[in-house]
Amino acid sequence: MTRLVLKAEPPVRVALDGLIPERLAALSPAEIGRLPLAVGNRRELVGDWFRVESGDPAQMEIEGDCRRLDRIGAGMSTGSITVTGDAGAYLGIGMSGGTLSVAGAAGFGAATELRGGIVRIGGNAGDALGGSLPGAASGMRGGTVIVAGNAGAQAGQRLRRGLVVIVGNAGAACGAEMIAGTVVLGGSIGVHLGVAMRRGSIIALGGAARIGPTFGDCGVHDLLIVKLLARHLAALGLGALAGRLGPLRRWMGDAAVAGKGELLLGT
Amino acid sequence: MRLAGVAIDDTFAEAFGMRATRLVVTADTIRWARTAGESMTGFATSVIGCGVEAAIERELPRDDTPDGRPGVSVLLFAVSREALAKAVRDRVGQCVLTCPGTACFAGLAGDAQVPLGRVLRYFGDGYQSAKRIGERRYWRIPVMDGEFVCEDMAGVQRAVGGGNFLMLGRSRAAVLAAAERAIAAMRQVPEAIMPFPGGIARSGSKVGSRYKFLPASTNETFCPTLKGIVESGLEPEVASVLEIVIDGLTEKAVGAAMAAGIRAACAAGAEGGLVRITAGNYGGKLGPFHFHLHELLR
Repeated sequence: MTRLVLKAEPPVRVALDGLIPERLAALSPAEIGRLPLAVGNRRELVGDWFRVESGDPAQMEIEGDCRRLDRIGAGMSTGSITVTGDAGAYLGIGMSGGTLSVAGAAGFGAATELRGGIVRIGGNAGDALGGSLPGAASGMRGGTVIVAGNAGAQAGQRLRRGLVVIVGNAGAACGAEMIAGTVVLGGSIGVHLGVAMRRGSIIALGGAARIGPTFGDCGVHDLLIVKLLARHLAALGLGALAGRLGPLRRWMGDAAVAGKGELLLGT
Repeated sequence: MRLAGVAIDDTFAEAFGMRATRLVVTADTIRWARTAGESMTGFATSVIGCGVEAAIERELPRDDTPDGRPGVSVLLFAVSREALAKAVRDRVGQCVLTCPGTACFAGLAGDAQVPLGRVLRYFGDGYQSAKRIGERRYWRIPVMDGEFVCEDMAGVQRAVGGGNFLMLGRSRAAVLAAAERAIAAMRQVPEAIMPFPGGIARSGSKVGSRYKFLPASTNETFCPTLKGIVESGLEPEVASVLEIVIDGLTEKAVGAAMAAGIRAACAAGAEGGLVRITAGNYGGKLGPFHFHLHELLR
C-alpha cells in the first residue's frame, strides 16, 4: 500500500488531482514527492505536504486531517484509495472505477459526475452528493456511492445512472431533475424531493416531509425490483438496510416533466 | 459390447452445432414457475417443425435464483442466433409474461446475446422502465398483477444438438419402462435437455420422404410393424423402439447424459425386455460431433 501521510493541516484548500493509483504506479516515493500540488492559488510539491511511503501502487492510503483536501480520487479508474479521516470537496469527482473509502465525513459535491466504481463515506456527506457540475447535462452516470450517515441538499441531482445510498436522512431537493438511476435512503427526505425528475427511483424508508402536487399516488406495492435491489444492497454490505426494504407506497412523477420517475416511500 | 445382457451397438450418434441460451423463470411458488416453464417449452421438440428445441433443465431452489424465489432454468436451442432470438421473444412474451407472478432472467453470460426484455418492453406501451442493479439491467413492464420484471438481454453460446440413442425391446411396455428410467437419470445431468414429450420420441425420422413437401419422414428401418416388407434394422424379437434425443450446452454434457441414460435403461438387464441399444447417424458426414456408444460407456 502506498501511503501519503499529511504532515500538517494546510491553511488553505489543496487539490489532489492526479494523486490516484494508476498515475502513481510507476513512480518512486521521491518522484511522487516531486509531483506538483495546487495549494490554494500556489503551485507547490506533494513532498512539501505529504510524507510518501511506498508500497502496493494499486492501494493508496491518505492519512491525516484531510478536511481541506479536495478532489481526492478525482478521475480514478482502478485500484483503491482509503482516507483515514474526513475528506474535502468533490471527493471522487469523475471517477470511473476502483474503490474510494473515507472513514469520516465528506464535503460538498462528493461523487460528482461519478461514472463507475464505489465511493464509501463513513460519516455524513455535504450538499450535492452524486450531483452535476454547473451547466452539465447530467450528474452521476454510473457507479455506487454509499453514505453511512446523512447527506445534505440536492443529493443525486440530475442523476443519470448508478446508485446513491444514504443510510441516514437527506436534505432538500434530493433527486431534483433526476434523469434515471436509483437513490435509496434509510431515513427521511427533505422537501422538493424529485422535483422535475424524468425517470428513476427515489426510495426513502423513513418517508418524505412533503410530496409535490405533480406526483400521483399509485398505492402500496411489494415490488420484485425492490427485492432485487435489496439483494444487491446486501451484497454491498448493507444487509441491515436491505432487510428493511418491503412494501412501499409508490408515487409517480414529476408530471411537470416526463412523469416516469417514482418515489417509493416507507409506509 | 453388452451391458447387463443388453447389446450395445458399435456405432455413434451424430450431433450438430447449435446456438443455445438458458433462461431462469421465477414465480411466487415452484408450481407457477414450473407452469411458465412448461408452457414456454411446449411445441419445442424439434427445430425442423418447431424452430426451436427447449425444455426445463432443472428446478431451482430460492437460493439459486436472482430474486430469491423458486424457479426453473430453461434451455433453448436453435440453428442460429436469429432463430433463437425469435423463439425467445415469442415464447417469453406469450408464456412467461402472461403467467401470474413470474419474472424472467438470463441464465447465461456472454458477449453474444439475444434480446429479452429489450423486445418485450413495448408491451408496457410507454409505462415500462429500465432499472440497472449492479451489472444487470432489467425491464419493468406494468401488468395487471403488478410488474413483469425481465432481464434486458440473455447470453447465447455455441451448443450441441441431436445427441441420441435408441432402445430396442421385446414389448412396448418394456421399452417405455427402460426409457423412463433413462430420462430420470438424464435429468440429473446439468446443461442437457431431452426436448421430446417426457423426454422420449417414438417417431424416429429419416431425412426426406417420397413427398416433395415433407423434409423428414418415418424411419421405416426401425418400425417393427414393417419389418417384413422393408430392409429392417430390427431383430425378429423386437416389438418396440424408442429414441431419446439430447441437446446440451457442451459436448461433454451431451455425452454425460447419453451415458447416464444408457446405463439406466439397461439397469433391468436383458430380463427386463430390452434387447439392444443403438444410435442414429448420417455416416459421420453431416454433424461434427460423434458420440461413440462404446467410448461413452467405458
